[in-house]
Amino acid sequence: MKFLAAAAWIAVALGGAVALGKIALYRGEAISATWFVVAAVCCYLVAYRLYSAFIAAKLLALDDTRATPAERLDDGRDFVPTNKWVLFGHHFAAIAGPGPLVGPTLAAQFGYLPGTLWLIAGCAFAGCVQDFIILFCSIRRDGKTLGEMARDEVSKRGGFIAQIAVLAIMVILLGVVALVIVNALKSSPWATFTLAMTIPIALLLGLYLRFLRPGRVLEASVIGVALVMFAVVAGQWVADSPAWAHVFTFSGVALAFILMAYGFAASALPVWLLLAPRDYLSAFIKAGAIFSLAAGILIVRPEVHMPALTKFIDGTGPVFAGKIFPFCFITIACGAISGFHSLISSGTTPKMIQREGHARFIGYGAMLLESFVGVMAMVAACAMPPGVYFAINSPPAVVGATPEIATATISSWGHHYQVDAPTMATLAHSVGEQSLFNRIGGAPSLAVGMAQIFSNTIGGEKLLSIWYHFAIMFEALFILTVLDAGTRVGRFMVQELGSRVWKPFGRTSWLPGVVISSALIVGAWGYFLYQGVVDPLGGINSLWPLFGISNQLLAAVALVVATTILLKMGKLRWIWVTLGPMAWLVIITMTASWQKIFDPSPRMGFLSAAKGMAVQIAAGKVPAAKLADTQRLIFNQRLDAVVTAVLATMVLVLLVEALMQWAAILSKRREAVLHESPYVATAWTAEAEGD
Amino acid sequence: MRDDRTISDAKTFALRIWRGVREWCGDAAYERYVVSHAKHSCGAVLLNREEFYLEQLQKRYSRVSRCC
Repeated sequence: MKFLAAAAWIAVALGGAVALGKIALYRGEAISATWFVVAAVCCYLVAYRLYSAFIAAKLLALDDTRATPAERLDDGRDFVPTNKWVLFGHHFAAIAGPGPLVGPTLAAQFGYLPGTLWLIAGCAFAGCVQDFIILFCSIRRDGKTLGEMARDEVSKRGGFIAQIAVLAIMVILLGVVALVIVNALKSSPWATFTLAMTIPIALLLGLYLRFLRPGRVLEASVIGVALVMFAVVAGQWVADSPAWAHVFTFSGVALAFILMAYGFAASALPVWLLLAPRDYLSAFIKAGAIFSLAAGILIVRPEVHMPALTKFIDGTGPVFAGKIFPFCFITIACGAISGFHSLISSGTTPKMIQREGHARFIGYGAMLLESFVGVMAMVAACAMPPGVYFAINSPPAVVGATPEIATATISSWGHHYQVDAPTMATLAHSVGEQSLFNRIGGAPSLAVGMAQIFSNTIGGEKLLSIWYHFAIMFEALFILTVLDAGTRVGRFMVQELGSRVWKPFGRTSWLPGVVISSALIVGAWGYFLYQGVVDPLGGINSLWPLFGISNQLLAAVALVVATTILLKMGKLRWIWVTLGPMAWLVIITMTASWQKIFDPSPRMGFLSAAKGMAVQIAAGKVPAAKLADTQRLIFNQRLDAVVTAVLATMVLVLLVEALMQWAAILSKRREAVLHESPYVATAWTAEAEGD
Repeated sequence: MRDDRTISDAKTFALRIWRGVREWCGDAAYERYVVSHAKHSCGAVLLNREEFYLEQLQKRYSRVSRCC
C-alpha cells in the first residue's frame, strides 16, 4: 500500500514536471490550456503533500492535543468552532478578491510564462507559507491581529507601523479597484445598468433579512442571485433602447464620482441595509463564477495564443511600464502572495478553527486554490489573440487614439500581434459593446476571455454578449464588495486613530464622527481614483504598481513578524522558510519602489514624469487651457512618489527593528519571550467535533 | 438491500452538503449560537434571531473581512 502511494506521488510529480517543461519550452503558435491546469494542479498537490507537511511538522509542530481559541473561548459569536471544510470555504471567500483575476491579466503582457511560473512557485514557497504561519501564530495568541502580534513580538513601533501601513494600503487598494470598475463600465450602458440594479436588489434583500426573515441568508441569496441574473439579461434591453442607453451611459469622471457617493453611503448607512446583503450576493456569484470558469477551461480546453515571452519583458510594454524584474512580481500580487491575506489569517479564521492541525489545510490549502484562480485568469487572458489583448488593454496615449492607428501600431510589433479594426468592431458588437479599445484595467479583457470560454461551453456565439456582461457583473460586483467593506473598515481605522487625538471621535455611533471619517476615507481613495481616471496613460500604469508594491510590503511585514516568532520558538535551523520569501519581497519591493520614484523614463518614474511636464510648462509648450490640468498631473506624480517612499521607509524601519531584536536574541543579550496563550489540553474527541 | 444503502448514503451525503452550505453562508449561525449559549452562557441573556443577526453584522464589518 505504501509502495502504491509512493508510486502515485512520483507520478504526480513527474506529471507536473512534464507539464511545466512543456509550457516553459514550447515555442509554437498555440499551446493547450490543459498543460497549464496539469502543471498547476500537480505542483499544488506536491507542495501541499511535502512542503506544507514539512512546515507543519518541523517548523510549527502543530499540536492537535492543544485546545484552540474556538474551543476554549467558544461563545457562539466571536469564537465558533467550525468544520474544517466550512472554514476553508469561509477563508477562501474572504481572501479571494479581484487581485488574482486582474493581476495575472495585466502581467500577461510579459507572455504567459513568467506570470504562470510566479503564480505556481510564489504561492507554494511564499504566499501559502505566509497565510499558514500567520494563521498558526494567531491561533496560538487567541486570534490576535497582525498589528497586535507585531506590537507584542517585534516592538510597539512595529505595531504602529503595521496599523498605518494597513490603512495606507487600504486607501490605495480601494482607489485602484474602483478604477478597474470605472474602466469596465464607462460608455457601457448594459454593464452600468446591471451593476446599478445590484443596489436596489441588495436594499431589498437587506430589508428582507432585517424585517421579514431575520438571518435567513440562504433563501435571501437565492432570490437575490435570480434577480441579478435577470438584471444581466435586462441590461441588453436597456442597451438596445436609445433613450435608456443614454440614461446609463457615463464618462469615466462621472462614474468616479458616482462610486465615491456609493462608497460614502455604504460606509455611513446601517450595515444590514446595503453592505451585508451585497456581500452575500457577491459570495454566491463569486463561488459560482470561479467554479464555472474552472469547469469551462476543463471542458473547452482553449488554446493559449500569447507567446511564452513577449518583447515587453524589456520594460516597454503598453499595458504598464516596467521590466519583468521586479514588475512581474509586483503586478501579480494576490495570486502568488498577498500581504492583505495576513489580515484575514489573523482575523476571523483563527477564532473559528477546531484543531491546530486544520491550519495547514485552511491556511496553505486555501491559498493554493487562490493561486489556481490566478492561473485560470492567465489562461483566459492569453487564450484570446495577443493583438486583441493589447488592443483592449493599451491606452490611446501609447498605441494611438483611433481604431485604425491603434491596430496598425499593435500589428507592427510582429506576427503574433496581428489585429485590425474590423475584427475589433465585430468582437465589440458580439459582446454587446460599442468599442473595446482603451478598456484598460484588466476586467474587460478578462471578461472577453471568460465569455469566450463560457460561450464555447454553453450557448455558442449567440450567448457571447450575455456571458461577457455576466463576467463584467461578476468582477464589478465583488470589486464593489471590497470597496464598500473596505471603506467601512477604513472609516473605523480613521476613527480609532482620531480617537488618540480626541476621544469622542472614536465613538462609532456618533453621527458627526461617522460622517467626517467616512468622508476622509472616501476622499482619500477617491483622490487616487480621480487621478487614475484623468491620467493620460490610463491610471493603471502608475496605480496598479503602487498597489502591488504596498501589498507586497505588507506581506514583508507579515513575514518579518513570522520570522521573529519562529526565531523566538528556537527554530533557527528552519528560519529560511520565512526568511527566504521575506528577503525576496524586500528586494522586489525596494527595487520597484526605487524605479517607480527615480527612473529617468517619464512613463516609469514618478519624479521624471513630473519633471518632464514641468519642463514643458516652462518652455511654454502647454496650452493655457491645459495648464491647470498639467499642474495637477505634476502634483499627482509627486504625491505617488511620496506615498511610495513613505511606505518603503516604514517597512525598512520595521525591518531594522526586527533585525536588532534578532541579533539581540541570537547573541543571548535578550531573552526570547513568546506571547503565546498557555497550553490547555483539548477536551474534544474527533467524533464529538464532527470529523 | 444494496440499493437502500446507496440511497441512504446519498441522502447522508446530500444532507452534509446542505448543512455545509448553510454553515458557510451564515444561515445556520443562530442555531449554533443557541446551542453554544445553552452550553457556555453562564446566565447571559439569549439574543433573539434579529438581535443576533445585527450583532454579527456589526462585528463582521468592523474589521477586514474581504481581501483584494
